[in-house]
Amino acid sequence: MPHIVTKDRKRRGFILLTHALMVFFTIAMIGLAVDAGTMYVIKGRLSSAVDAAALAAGRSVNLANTVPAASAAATATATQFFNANFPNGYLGTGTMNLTTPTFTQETDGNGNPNGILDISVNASVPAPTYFMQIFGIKTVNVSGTGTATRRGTVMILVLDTSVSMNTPGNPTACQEMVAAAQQFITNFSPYDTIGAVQFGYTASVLYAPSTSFGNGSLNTALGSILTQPGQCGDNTNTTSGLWLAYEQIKSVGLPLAYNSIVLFTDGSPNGVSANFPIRTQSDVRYGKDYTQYTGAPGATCTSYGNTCTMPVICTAAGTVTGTLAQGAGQTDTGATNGLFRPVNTDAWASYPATCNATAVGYLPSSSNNGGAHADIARQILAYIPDFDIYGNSTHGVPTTSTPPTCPGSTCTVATVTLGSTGASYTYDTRDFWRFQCNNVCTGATGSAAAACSTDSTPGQQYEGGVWTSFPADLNSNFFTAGPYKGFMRPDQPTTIVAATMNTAMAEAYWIRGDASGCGGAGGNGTACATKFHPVINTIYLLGNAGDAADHEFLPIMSNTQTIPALPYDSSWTPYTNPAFLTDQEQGLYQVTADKTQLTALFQKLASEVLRLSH
Amino acid sequence: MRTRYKSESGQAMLEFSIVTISLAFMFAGAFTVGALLNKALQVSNVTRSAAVLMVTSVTNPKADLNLVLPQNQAILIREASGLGMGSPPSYTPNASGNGAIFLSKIILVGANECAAGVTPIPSGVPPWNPSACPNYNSYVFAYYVAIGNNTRWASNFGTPPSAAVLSDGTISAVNIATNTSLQVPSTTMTPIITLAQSQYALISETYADVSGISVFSIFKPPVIYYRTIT
Repeated sequence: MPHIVTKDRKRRGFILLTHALMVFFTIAMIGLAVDAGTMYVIKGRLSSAVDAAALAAGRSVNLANTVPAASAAATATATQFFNANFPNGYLGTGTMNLTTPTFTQETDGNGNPNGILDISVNASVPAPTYFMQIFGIKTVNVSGTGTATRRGTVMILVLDTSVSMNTPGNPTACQEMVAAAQQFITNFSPYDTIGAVQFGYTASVLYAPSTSFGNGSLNTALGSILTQPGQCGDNTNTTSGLWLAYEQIKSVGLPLAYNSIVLFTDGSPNGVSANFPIRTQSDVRYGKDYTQYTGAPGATCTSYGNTCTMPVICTAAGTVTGTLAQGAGQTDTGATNGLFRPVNTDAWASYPATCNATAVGYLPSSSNNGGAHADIARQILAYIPDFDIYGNSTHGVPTTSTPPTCPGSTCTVATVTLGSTGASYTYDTRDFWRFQCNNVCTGATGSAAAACSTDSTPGQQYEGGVWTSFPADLNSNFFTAGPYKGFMRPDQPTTIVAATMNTAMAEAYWIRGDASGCGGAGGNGTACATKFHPVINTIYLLGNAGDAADHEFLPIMSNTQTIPALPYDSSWTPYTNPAFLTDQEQGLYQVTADKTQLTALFQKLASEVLRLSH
Repeated sequence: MRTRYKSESGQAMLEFSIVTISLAFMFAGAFTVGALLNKALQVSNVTRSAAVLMVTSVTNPKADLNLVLPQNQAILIREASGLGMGSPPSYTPNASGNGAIFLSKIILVGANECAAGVTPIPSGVPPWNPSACPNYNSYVFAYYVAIGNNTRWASNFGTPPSAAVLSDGTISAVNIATNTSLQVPSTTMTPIITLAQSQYALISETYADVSGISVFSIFKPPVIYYRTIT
């Protein structure tokens, strides 16, 4: 019995004791779970915060133009966004340590940069423990890494420095353009690449594309436009400007970047670059004969406005390369210039020795930029060939002759016989492109009104001509009789404009769709429709120097979906761009007749570019 | 001895009961806390995913990701499975459900936005000012999408007028520059984040009513609110 009593007494409180032990371990386990859970919550919040910081850092590098300043701006913004997502002292955490964002250019499989910038942000914070303090662990370091990518921008400004930009006034359109461009470039970061091309008679690289543009060098280069001899003082070789700009984009070679050309122009292009055949057969065309400048008697062709049988002054066939420029006045019978260098690194035109030396001496050369009597180029050149030196059709958008692509649903394909060669040429209906001047001029004022008045006859100035009928009137862009029948005339300013507008559009068409470099040698090994996906943004300033305004020219260059109104239009119903291509990049097209609005238009473009590239 | 046995009878039962009740409370509490943490993490993840989708939708038009469309919203509702915001198989957002997600892009309007939205550009600008561009230097909604029960909850940053929000959640450049009803008070923004002109913040907010997870009615977890600003 005592034995039993003793045994029961020993059992008494056993469960409570066991429970106490269980509670101790249970509380420890629950505490561990709570602490671990808290860590996970903090970790989740931290990860979210560093992701946001990385994204914000990527967006904010354009707040400064140099790497140190951009890095500082990115760090400040990253910290700000981190704090917005991870408040100081969140769940009892200690002092946060956020590292300076790091920026790394991504590379392709061959180790070449591809235009994508990787941004990485690290952060760590001591997280408090609640139950684990029992075991002497007061804090646990929680860390996170956020990464983001930013699409770099490769942008080439293509600026029109033609004489029409030198519109009287203070400031001139040229000065307004320079100021707007200088303000525009402040929107971009040192991780972007920006360059500039200018074009007049000749296109030239004003500033080779560089990420160092923000150190003031590009600003200085842009400003130099205003100090160049004859600043904003010659023609509008838009096609060569575009070609040169795209060469710059290819030289940078960042296929995944936002590759863009920003074309600013104030009028119709008027310099066609080609390998011009030498005229060796006499024909009837507009004057002038070079002999009128020599003082020798007997000159037969002395007027731009009169046709005559033009004497031959080159005896052997051949070609001469250069840019044939429109002269003063956009009329059928105005002056023409020629031949200039398409790009300033090209050689000056070299004429065959069989050409009259005195006549050649009147033409632009390395020692005589403008030429004393450049209009006599029309006596030496037989015609404007069907394709320019870049392979662009002088007749329309298609760039190849056998056969051209017919990209739009509206075009139809036909075949005609070209010129006197008898060659068959397949074309689409846009070969008949008719650049109509704006004829809805109600409300235009100032210089815009002057331009409107000049250009108020629709369809006259840049009419493309009709292949099949060769109308007898000399307003046709094509010779309608003689040995060069069917070829475009080099003696009519309007024809030079029409040919250049066609080549400029074809150049834009080709740039946007250039698939060279896709796959295979030199490519990235991947098949693609276009390697650089270039976007052509355009800004059109109307009203300078009476240049004609065309509704469709720049919208087609930018590949917009619709043809919008011009500022002169009192009423206008936008219609579908007949050359719109769904498989090519769409750019932003802007137009104004007020030069003081250029800065705002460039700002709008910055808004668009930054939205797309970041 | 018999008396002594009688006094011990039920002791084990009593002790077990006491232990069981305390353990039950403890485990119930642990379950509730654990479940709450789990839901909090889920809400956090949904909010982050919403932010990522919004970044894609807003900054990459070619992605063609319209988050106004229910089938695209279902991406988030599927991730929020168990939060009562929508049901399988379609995961269509429930307008009277237990949660809501708000996606907003708020921008501090600067010269670029004014140039993009004010047509024709008035003479004398730039520099821009509020008389030429009413929202100049103001925080303004540039994008807004509400998913789920937006009658019970609203964004902490306000609700833009529905007429100003386009069918893909974006807001036109004209409205961004000129529609003052889109403004977000700076007193709302600046305590959270201060932006530079033309800088924007993408804000993802999630509300989730998780009261259903509590074992005991006295433990009523609050509505979980999570926000990500990218």
